[in-house]
Amino acid sequence: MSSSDRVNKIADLLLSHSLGEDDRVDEAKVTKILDDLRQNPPPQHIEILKRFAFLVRRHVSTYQGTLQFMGGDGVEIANRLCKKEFIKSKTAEIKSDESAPLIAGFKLKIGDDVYEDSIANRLNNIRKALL
Amino acid sequence: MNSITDLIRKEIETISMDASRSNVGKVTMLADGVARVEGLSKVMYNEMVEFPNDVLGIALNLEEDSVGCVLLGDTSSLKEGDDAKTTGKLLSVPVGMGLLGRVVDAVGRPIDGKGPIESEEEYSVERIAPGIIPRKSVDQPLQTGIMAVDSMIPIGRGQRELIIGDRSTGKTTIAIDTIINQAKINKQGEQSGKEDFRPVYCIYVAVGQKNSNVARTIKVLEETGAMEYVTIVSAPAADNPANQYLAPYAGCAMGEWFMENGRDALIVYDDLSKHAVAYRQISLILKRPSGREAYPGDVFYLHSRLLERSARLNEDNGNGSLTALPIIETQMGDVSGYIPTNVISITDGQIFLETDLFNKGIRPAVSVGLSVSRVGSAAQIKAYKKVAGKVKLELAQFRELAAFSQFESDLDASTKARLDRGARIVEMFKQTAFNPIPVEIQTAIMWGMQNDFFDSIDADQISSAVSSLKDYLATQGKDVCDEIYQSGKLEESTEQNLRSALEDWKRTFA
Repeated sequence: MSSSDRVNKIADLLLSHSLGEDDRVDEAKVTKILDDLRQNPPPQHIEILKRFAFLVRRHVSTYQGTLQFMGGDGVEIANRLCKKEFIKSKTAEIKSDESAPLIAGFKLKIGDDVYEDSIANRLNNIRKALL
Repeated sequence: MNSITDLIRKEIETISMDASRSNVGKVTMLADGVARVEGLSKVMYNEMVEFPNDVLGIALNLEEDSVGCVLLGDTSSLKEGDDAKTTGKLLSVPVGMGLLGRVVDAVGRPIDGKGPIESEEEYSVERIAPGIIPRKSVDQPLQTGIMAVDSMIPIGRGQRELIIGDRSTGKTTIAIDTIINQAKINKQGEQSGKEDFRPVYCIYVAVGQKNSNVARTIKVLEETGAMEYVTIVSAPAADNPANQYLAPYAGCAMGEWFMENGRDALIVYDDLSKHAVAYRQISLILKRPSGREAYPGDVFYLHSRLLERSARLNEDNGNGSLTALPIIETQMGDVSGYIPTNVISITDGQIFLETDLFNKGIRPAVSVGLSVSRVGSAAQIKAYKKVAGKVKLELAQFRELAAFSQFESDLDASTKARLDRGARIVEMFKQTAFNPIPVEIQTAIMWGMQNDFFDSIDADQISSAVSSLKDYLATQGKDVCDEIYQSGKLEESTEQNLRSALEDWKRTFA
């Protein structure tokens, strides 16, 4: 087994031990794992931590999102979108904020996916087409 | 005023106002025209990626946790942490007749200050080459106007003929001469009103060239009146490597439009050595494993997938063609280098230019022994084939005998005759740059050589004799040349007329 395979395998194991019953990353479990690793650092400690951080970030992004909205029922729309498109069996954790630069509408980000229907976006499309 | 507002209104109506869904990522590294982006989990290979300030990139490396993108245009405004998002589109360039006479960059944007390109169609830069079924064999000539090439290394429409040689041996000149000749033939054909006449449109792709060289090429093409049939795709040395990597594919897409619409096109890639270097630079920054001479493993595929797109299509597929003249620069005449051997094996022959010949004043410096055309002879017109059939052999014999004769003090008559004939053929093939000769005049000159009209002229006078004969054939001997041009054959009656014309010229020349 190559060293990078070993790092990946250990990081995968750490992630599986970090998940709670609801298949979400459990903060207490992660803290305990980090404490253990600090006390007994394995070979390639830093690489393993980097990979572990990447896997946790990727996993969290499947159920956590951010919503920016301005006016209207932004939160309601976002919740419906989450149920329909992204989360399926899980319930989304959406952090919502009002955002004046949108002018009106919303922008929802979950993981790498961004849903946007805002006046700012429409104006930007017009600008690009006319330039 | 109303028309302007209508125009803007129409443009706005075409813009989608639906909610958008995109896949985004964050730039984690920027270096030499390449960005590494974390995220973009749904990006496709070769998809265009949008960065801030309207900078575009292309996703070339799809890895588990990041994506490597080559950036197009000015990247100085980008920084680490910027957002990048997918567009769902492959890189496309405008195509069509509106590109003729224009100079564009690697993504088809005009850089000649002549306003926007009038084009209604766009082609993706990466396209699959025509398969076996829609193709047919090369059967129509593509005259370069260079006697040494048209007689010994003939090129057919749809062929891929490599021009290879050291620096400053006249590689670009051969390509430009060929383009100028196409323009001349196009004008002549359009004036003749022949129904079956098919013009050849040209695309010149300048990769990694000095801007001054590109400007000189444009000037030559404009002065010779060829520019109206030419599109120039320029990715100069100062351009980023991504543009240099894309330019040949963009030019090829423009040429394919002609081919797929039943027209003939010629594309010159000047040059693929620099293209390979640009690709090596991108690959190394993308941390792809490197192989021989630090080129990535797919450098053969880089050129094979480009050159395979040149083809001759059959009648069921419009009968169009795309002829390719890739150029490769060798180092110290070494044709066994990595990139030269790759491209030699991909193409249907090569025109090898020798520094020694060039320095001796034999220009174009075509090496007879190392140059070959694998398919072009099938496309030569009958009249030309008849007179040029033995020339290559005679010249090769001459070169061999000339080498040996240096050690011989006493030569037999037949050897001496061969040496004399060879020396005259060498002189006959000397030709100035940007001065292509029409095929009917070439045929007449070659016929004169085959029928001993030059035997009584000293070898050092042959060049001026050929020049004088060219002038004569363009004026007093025009009828017989027209006869050859119209029929494409050398009938007995044509030969008689040719003989009397040459006898008449010989008297005036003497």
